[in-house]
Amino acid sequence: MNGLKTIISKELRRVFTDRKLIFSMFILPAIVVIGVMYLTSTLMNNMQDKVKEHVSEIVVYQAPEDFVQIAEGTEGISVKYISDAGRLDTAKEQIRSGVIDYVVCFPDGFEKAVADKDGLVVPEIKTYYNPSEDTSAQAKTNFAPVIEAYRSKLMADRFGSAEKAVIFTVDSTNPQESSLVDEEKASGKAMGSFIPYFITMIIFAGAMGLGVDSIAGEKERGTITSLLLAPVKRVNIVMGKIISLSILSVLSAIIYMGSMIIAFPMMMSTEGATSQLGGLNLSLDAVQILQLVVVVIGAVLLYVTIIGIVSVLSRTIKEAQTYITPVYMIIIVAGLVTMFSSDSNNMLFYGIPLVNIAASLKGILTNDLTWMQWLLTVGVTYGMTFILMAAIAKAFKSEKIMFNA
Amino acid sequence: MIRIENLTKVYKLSKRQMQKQKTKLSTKIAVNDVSLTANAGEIFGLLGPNGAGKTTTLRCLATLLKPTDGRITIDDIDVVEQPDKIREKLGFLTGEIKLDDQFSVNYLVEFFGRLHGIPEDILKERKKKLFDYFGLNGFMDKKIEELSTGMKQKAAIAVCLIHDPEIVIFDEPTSGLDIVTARLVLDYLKVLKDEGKLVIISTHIMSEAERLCDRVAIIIDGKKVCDATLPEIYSQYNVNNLEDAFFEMYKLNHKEEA
Repeated sequence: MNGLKTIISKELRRVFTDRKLIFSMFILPAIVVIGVMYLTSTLMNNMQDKVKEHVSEIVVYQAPEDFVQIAEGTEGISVKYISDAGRLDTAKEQIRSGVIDYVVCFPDGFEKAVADKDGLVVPEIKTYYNPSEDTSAQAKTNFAPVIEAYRSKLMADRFGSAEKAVIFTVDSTNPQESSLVDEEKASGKAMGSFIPYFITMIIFAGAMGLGVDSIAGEKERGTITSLLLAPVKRVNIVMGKIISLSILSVLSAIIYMGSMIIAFPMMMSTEGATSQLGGLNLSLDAVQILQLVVVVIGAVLLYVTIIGIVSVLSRTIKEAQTYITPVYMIIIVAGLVTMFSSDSNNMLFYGIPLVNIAASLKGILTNDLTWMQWLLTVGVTYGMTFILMAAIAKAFKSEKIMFNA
Repeated sequence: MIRIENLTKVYKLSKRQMQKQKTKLSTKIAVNDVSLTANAGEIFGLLGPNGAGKTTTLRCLATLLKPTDGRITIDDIDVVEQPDKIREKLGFLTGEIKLDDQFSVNYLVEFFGRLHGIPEDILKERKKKLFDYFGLNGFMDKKIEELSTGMKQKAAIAVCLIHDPEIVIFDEPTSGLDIVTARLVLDYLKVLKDEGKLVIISTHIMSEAERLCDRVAIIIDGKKVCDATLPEIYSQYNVNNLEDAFFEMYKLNHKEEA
């Protein structure tokens, strides 16, 4: 272990005495994350408010008199009634261009058909809207109750009473109780699908820049030679760099996660976000926390070591950055695989490096992870890390790799 | 004591390198069967034109490169078999050894001192001695990037010598230095010799070698063509200065590549 502490201390000092680096690694991300989330939620809220406040412009063709009465009672809509086929075509054009939001067409002979108690003819009401316009989709939603109210009135007319027509209802008195969900598991599922993906992204991104500089950068600048002349085992030099890089990546990830947690309430105030992210009803017991910590530490070490091996095999910083990018993509895809897969019991997932990290994180958060799966993940991850570290140490001994000899 | 026996270093060239160096050979022999010995208490010069193989020889000695053939031992310890032990005994300084720009002279000297396992009190004592001699006291808290070339070189020397190595290898010791600093460095090499150390310098500046060296070996095109004391060389080639002697050797030994 000779020299290990000294090297770690130097690598950490390299970052913490560089004001620009501290700013770009720890302060700027926080500002950017909070700023972007704030901006996004504000814009989204503005847009949703706009849509909500918009009075739907609706055109109804050949509306029966009793329909008009029902429609008149509805707020938030402005209805124009037409009976000219030419104006109907114009209205459809206006839907396309976004001038009006919704067109409802009653067919010829509608009133006669619905008045027939035997219901021999079932008329079709055709509606037109523009799915690419938010206000148009909203208008369709707003107007649906009006059409249903009309249907209820007509059914009551036909059968004598509304209840006789309806026959049975589904979930009209118990919408809340109908939802039997383990709150924690649901939140965990929501978080479990995007958090592993997110954590992997942040840790890798934080480690990339520093890692490339720490190894490829030192090679390029020529400062690695003095290290290689010191009577320190190569593997200790490598470990020193890997450990200090891991510490810095974790710090960077904590800053990102911290700023996201601060900005979270902002996102929650946006409609739509609430349904996806659920109430954050997440509590982890000691065992889960232990499992989580071990997996996350393993992930950090593995990512940093991967960056290390790419850096040591590159001749310059630029070269290292070029090779690292596809690796980054692979890591993101591995995280995405878990996000979209529901097959959490397939042992295969837990044997594949990188994928197993994301799968385990998801499993821990949904309290679904078995000890076998966890052990397999930990074994593969830490095993790969040691192998790669040994490879880097070997590379440090190679004159071709270190000196481009 | 250093013993180099039949050292040969051959590089394989990639196709692109063959094109660049305009050669049809797929290998380059940088050092070709070089043997020499050097003892404590002397300044040994390794001389030759650029590309002769001096730096390669020294890098093999310093454990940075592995010999393709031959054997190097320092005090009977093989450099390939026990590189860590060798690194404890050696101080190696070349122009390509750069110090981290954002650290101070003081920090770097202490950093390398600690890597060598020097106890704190001895570290402080040696640091003071080196800083006093090279006039680094006023600069010790400055970052390397803020120093002039001369100061950088002096800082590099301090870093290289902090562990008080028995053997000091300087490749082109005065390269890039002004006349005052160059003299300072060369004088220090004499101090090291008087302390009983083995100093090896490599240079292509013959006058420098003349002033310093007890013995020289001359390398041309990877081969050693001469290994003697200065008086022996003068009488063998019938000259009174090293430069003229060198050109005699060069005429005899250098073949232009076809």
